[in-house]
Amino acid sequence: MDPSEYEIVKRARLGHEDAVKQIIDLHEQQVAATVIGILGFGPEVDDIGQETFVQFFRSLDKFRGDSQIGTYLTRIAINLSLNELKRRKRYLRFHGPEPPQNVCAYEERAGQEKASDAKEMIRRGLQKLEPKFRTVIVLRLINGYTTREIAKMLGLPQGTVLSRLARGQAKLREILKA
Amino acid sequence: MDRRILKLLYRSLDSPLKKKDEEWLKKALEESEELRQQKIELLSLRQSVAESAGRSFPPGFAERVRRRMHGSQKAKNNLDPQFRAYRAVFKPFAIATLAILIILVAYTVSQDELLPKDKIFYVSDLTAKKLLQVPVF
Repeated sequence: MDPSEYEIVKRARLGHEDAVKQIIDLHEQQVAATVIGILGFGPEVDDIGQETFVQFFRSLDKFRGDSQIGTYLTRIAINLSLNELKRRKRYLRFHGPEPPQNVCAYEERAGQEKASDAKEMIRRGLQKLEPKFRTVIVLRLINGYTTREIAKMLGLPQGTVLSRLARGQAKLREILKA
Repeated sequence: MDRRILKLLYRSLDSPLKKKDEEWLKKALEESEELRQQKIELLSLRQSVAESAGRSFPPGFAERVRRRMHGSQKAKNNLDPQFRAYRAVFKPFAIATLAILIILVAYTVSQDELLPKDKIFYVSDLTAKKLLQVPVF
């Protein structure tokens, strides 16, 4: 962790609101990219994003600074997003498909420009991938982590990450061509 | 197309290759138009994925996080003080009672003569027959 981050964390631990806000502002985009990448746009995305930061601030005393704040937050965001996917799967099993979500309204609220057809197609394609492939693709291609960092984050061998990346991209190409 | 060379092409974009593999891929790219096309398509796909990402939550996100943090803290502190006092007193009693119960059950089961295991699981034939008897009206 670099000294400036260390200083912010120290201040946040002491309960300085400005430090808390600074951490949120600095890492909101990264967390959003991870959560939206894995879950797609939807109303629960904001909730998962908030919970990511709440869990981070709650565990601030345990944060030893071995990794960057962003990496730590991304790890929490991944876990929460994957749990949400499991919840959706359980819901689907017992109650059938969830009611359609108003994705456009969410995008408008999020201040995103209306996605072009190509972007929308890619997003839909991503959502069709198995979570294990989607996660590595989001972390590598959207968040820009190296395969070594991803391996560490997910507790996987680097070779597995590389192979999931390759297979994930190949599957995504097939989905988009179909 | 050779699957190994395709695999190498994918891998080359995410991790440095061994010298030998790098040369092999370079040579294959020079020789194969199809492989070059694959590389272009792959790079374009990666670019599109990166650009497709949503990168923000609805406005006021930081404020909502702070409210949520304070909300959960408040909910913790807002527990009725009387209830908290009762809970603090009751908790050790409940744990002690549970421990005593476990010890008593374990002791009773271990002392065969007090409550023989075969008696616990024994169902006499007579009882079984009675149970299976269907009354005729």
